[in-house]
Amino acid sequence: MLVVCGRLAIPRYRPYGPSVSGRLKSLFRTNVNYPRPRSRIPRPSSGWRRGVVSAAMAIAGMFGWSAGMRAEPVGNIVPDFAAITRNALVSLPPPPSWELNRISSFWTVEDVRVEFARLTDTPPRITSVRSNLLRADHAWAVAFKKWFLAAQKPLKMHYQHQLWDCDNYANGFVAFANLLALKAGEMRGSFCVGWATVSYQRAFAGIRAGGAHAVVIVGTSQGLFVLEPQDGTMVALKNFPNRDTIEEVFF
Amino acid sequence: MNPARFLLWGWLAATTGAAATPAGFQLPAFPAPALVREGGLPKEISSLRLLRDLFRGGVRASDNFEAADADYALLEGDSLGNLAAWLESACTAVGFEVRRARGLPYDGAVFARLLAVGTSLAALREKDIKLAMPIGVLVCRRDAAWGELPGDGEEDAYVIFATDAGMLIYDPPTRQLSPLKNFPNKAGITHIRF
Repeated sequence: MLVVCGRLAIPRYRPYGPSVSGRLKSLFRTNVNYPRPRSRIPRPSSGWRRGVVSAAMAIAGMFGWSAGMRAEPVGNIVPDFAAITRNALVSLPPPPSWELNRISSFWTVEDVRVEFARLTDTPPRITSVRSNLLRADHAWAVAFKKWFLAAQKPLKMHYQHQLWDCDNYANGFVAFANLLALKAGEMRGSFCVGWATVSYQRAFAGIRAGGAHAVVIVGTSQGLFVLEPQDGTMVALKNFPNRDTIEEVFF
Repeated sequence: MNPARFLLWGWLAATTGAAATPAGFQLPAFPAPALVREGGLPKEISSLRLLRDLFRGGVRASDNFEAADADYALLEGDSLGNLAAWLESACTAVGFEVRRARGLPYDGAVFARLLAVGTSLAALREKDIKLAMPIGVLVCRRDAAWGELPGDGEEDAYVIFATDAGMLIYDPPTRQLSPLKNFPNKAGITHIRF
């Protein structure tokens, strides 16, 4: 059974960054009131007070102290392994063999941007810590999609509004793809599998039009693909009906 | 069919089938999050409250903040040990040592995402938890040294938790944990996503 995800609540707060266009603002309107940015930012008082504060900070800096800038002692988490070992293990089905990915090629994030620019009218913003992304072998990506669907039962994965909805399905798909890369000893780079926020102007894979939704973006040896992780529908980006309203991709 | 022969065939089928099937793998049980509760139910905080806590932690207004859900639970600040243990155990289960991860090409977002997914799956097994887990990823420029991590200007990603003790930043390989207000690279934050 397919479940239509609720609207994603994505508060945007970019008072000094590039402004979001009015069109996108309306697409991602949520039940959360947007803060009025500039009025809420504490501003230094003007005139002589600012001068006094600056002078005081300069004097403090001469003595090696500056408010809010000195790093505090760093704490550490002490992992509670005893709590973990008390519980039963979760058994997952055999994953697809990684061998197909041994000869995979790379894309830079810029390559991905170019590909989106070629295939969409309004390319999304792309966020990635790594500059190089490993493209999965296409057959492996298809096999992994099947594995993810099969793993949902032992993982007891089921839709629940907010706790496990569309963004969690997409995040889960990406997390397990990365976990299998770690399992395979893949050291060449991060996987070109990310999740994206999309404004659904047209229905796709059982998800109705008219709301925001999260899907998976997979870069394979055959190009960029969009995947609905709730039912496994996978299409080339050029055939995805909402390709022009993909807001952002997170690798 | 003779019962003995039936059992023999069954045993043969089971053993040959097992030999032909590649082995699956196991993960440690997902870590049940310790949540702040009010009247027995998990305390609910809005995504706007997350944003407010970021401001209280001293994050600049220009930093990009995104939340995928409207309402979140709140973690108990002194209960993160089982989450950290699960992350390290899950990686060990697939043959990867988190503690040595920074000696390899490293992407902290991978571990933040894995921890958020594992915790959400654990919460999904609890009957009274309906809220999104307040575990996200923080991306910043490492302009200042933070504990073992150098201030070399590289982009880096960490786990961020919303807790009753405020926002906490966690680096899995070094196990470093810092309140956001004391995090030395606040000025270099480029992205926070829950």
